[in-house]
Amino acid sequence: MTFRLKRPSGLAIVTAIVLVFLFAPIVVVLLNAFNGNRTLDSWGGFTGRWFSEAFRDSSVRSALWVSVRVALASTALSLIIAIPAALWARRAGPRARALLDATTYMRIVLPEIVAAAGLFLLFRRAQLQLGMAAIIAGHVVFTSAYATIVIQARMATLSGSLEEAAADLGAVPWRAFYRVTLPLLRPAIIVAGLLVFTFSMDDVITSAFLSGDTVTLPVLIFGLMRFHVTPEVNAIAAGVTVLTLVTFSLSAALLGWRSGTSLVVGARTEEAE
Amino acid sequence: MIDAASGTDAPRGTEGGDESVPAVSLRGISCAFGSTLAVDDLHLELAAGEFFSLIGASGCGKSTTLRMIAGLQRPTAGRIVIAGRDVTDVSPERREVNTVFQHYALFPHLNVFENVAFGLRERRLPKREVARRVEDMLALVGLEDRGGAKIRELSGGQQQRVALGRSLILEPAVLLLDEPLGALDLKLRRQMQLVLKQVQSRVGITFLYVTHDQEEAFAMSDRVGVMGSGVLAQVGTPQEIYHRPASPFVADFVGASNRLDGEVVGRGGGGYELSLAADGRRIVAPGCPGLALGARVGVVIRPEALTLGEGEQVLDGTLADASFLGSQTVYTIEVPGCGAVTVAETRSNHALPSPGEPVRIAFAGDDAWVVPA
Amino acid sequence: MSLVRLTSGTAQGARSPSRRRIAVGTLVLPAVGWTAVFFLAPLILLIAYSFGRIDIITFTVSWGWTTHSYTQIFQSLYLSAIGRSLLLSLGATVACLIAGFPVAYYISLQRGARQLFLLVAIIVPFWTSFLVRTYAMTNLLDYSWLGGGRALDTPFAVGLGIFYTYLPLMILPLYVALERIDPALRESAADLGARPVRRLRRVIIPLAMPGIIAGCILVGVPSTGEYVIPSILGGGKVLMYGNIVADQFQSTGNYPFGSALAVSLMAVLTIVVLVVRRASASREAVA
Repeated sequence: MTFRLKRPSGLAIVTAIVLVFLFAPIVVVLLNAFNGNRTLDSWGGFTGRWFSEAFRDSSVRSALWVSVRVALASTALSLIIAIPAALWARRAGPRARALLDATTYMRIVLPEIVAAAGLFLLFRRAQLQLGMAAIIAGHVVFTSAYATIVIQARMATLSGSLEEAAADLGAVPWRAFYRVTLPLLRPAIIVAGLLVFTFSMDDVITSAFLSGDTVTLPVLIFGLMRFHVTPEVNAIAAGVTVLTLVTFSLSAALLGWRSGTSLVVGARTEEAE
Repeated sequence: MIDAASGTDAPRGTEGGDESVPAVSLRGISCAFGSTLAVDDLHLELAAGEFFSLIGASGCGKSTTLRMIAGLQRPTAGRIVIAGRDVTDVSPERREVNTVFQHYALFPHLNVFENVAFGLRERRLPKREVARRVEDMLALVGLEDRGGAKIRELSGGQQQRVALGRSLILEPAVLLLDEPLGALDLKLRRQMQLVLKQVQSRVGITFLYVTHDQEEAFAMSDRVGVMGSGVLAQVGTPQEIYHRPASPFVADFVGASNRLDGEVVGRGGGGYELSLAADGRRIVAPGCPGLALGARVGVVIRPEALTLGEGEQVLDGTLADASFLGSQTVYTIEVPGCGAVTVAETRSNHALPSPGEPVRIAFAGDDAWVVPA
Repeated sequence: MSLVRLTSGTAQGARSPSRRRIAVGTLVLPAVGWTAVFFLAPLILLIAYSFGRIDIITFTVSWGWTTHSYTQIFQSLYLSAIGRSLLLSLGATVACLIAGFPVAYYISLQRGARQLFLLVAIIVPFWTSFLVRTYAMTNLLDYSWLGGGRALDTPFAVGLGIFYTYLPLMILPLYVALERIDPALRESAADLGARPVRRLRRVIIPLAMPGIIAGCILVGVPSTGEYVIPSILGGGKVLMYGNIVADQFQSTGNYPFGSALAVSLMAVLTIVVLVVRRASASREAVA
């Protein structure tokens, strides 16, 4: 490959500007997390004390622990819902499949505020307690939709004749699933799981409506963010960012950058078509 | 005759079993998709150990028939009996049938060894036994050292062999092959045809082979069935099909043919006496049994049975085209009343005539075959 | 397949097709069950509440079929906030489209490692916590060294925030649609003499239309219900639809009114989406 320095095209320039615009604020947050200057109007030397202060804060720790548990439960439940649904959709008639696709789409596109308000009313009417269970229930509604899309997208690339071959060779349906379909779905399941985990860890509105006394991390820092920009909040935000970057890199490493990327891109666009 | 209604299990495969039990028996099989009938009341019996091909154009129902035997498609009417056991309601996992799929359907996440071992593992055979059998099968299909290879590292022909081995290793009563050589180039196809034929005669398992390529079917099969529009038009050996087609459809499907219109004016020991529509002349030729006097018929003559020059029967015409193809020279001749007649000569002991010249076509009555119109 | 005749007597260890169909049907039960209980039931409840009436003093909701809450929407002081809300999200959507299209187009033209790198560069912000990204905007807008006065707590800040957080969501579907365009079409348009801008207008954009629509829906619809961004970047002074709804449930306690607002939003968005989809489907049918 020969490298020739050409004048970059207009498109390339625009793209570069947009990318800088997308990343710059995040970078600023990350930098400020180490900024010794409390008022953050200039650089005050490198320090890690905001991190330790944030971590020592028990409300932050308990909120983190709540969020992690909610996210894990949401991931498990979403996969339990999504994988069988994708399997079923393969064999279902076109009308039934269209119905599933429509409800999946609705769960994502409907503004979260509407779904959250409705769930709030539901729990109150049923006189059930708000809290972790309620939050999980709310998260799973839309996270299972994302998981369904990712897994369905991957399943569409699997030839139907593979399952036929497995049956032909003597594997009953659940064996065929276990030995053939599941291993081939593994990349999608991993991406779906990570996607769900991330979205659950990041959710504010549903969590805020259904929290009762339990508080998730995003709700906690949302409360802090509304009022002032503080270094502790920066530190927490930086920590969260690193966490998400780690999970994304994890999925890319596990699947290879190409397939991981295409799964995520596909997932985001599948739902819109 | 096998009494399928009793539903008892016959011994597996054909080993030690009754040789007279057909490997496959299709009784009045039909398959309808909505209002279209893909397969229409099919009756067929395959003998144990034979290599049988089903040929036909795409959409004729041959693949559907195959899938019904495999259990991947339910017939809407009829019974399927395999090795004496009625399997119409049996799921594909439990049938003694295995399939080599058109695009091989090899499991991409497993290597060659595991692909071939797949069915054996389902039967919970001990590890050492599985390893032994897989190694033997890999040797049989010519892939001795490739056990650890990943599927995507293999060429088309090699993948084909893996698919074959994967199915054969289960010793089915009948092996179904759905146009397995379609994706290969010509030379490779020829090679694989030989491999398949050799493997089949060594192993002795009944093969049911589906293809649209008539030459391929003829090269490998003991018997051939020609299908069209969901119906079996004719079943017989390649020679029978080629030289004694039962209908114009079959005649046209297997190889090029000329067809002259005529009418039956007499029946005798040698065949039929016909009056050709073109010029009213009489010829005597053998043909399909049961054609009545006065019936409108077609006289089928293969191009290679015709020569230019003098002979027992002659037709006069004008040369429209002459093409030297290498192994053959093909002439297209306009015969008044008959239309275009194709002559294929392998050795011409005369000069190449030019278009527009008058030529004479010769043939023997015995080389013709009469079919219903 | 209604012509299946199950004959008796010869089935050996087989699962009849109807039993198998039922077994397959149970696969979708978790999805159906969860959707019915935690998605559909709440929506129905919202609709029910929206037709009820609240007693301000006792906070009990009486049922009945009044449209009181709906008419309240039009009479309320919130009307201007609602209007601003819709305008803001519309503006942000348009901005996302204008900024996102060139980027998506550029990426679709790349190949190999470069394209992968760019896609990852778009996915990373998308994957990064939404909350953090919104918060990151406050850093940008709060600097007193950025000239006099804070840019925060203004409609502009909220609009910019929506634009910033939703931009990757516009770029990805656009990229997918543009990627699918056969390069041969672009080349043949050039071959037939169309200059770049013309090519864009008459070939690329029409072919990318499904992606454009998808992106606009993905950005426009959720952003109208936004709650977090106006809270953080608007400081409680810039109210959007989402804030008003949340207020009814979390502080005011006027559930019928809140429900009416939520249901209205849902209805309007559903109509818009259906209309847009039908329009694009019929345009495709014509083409």
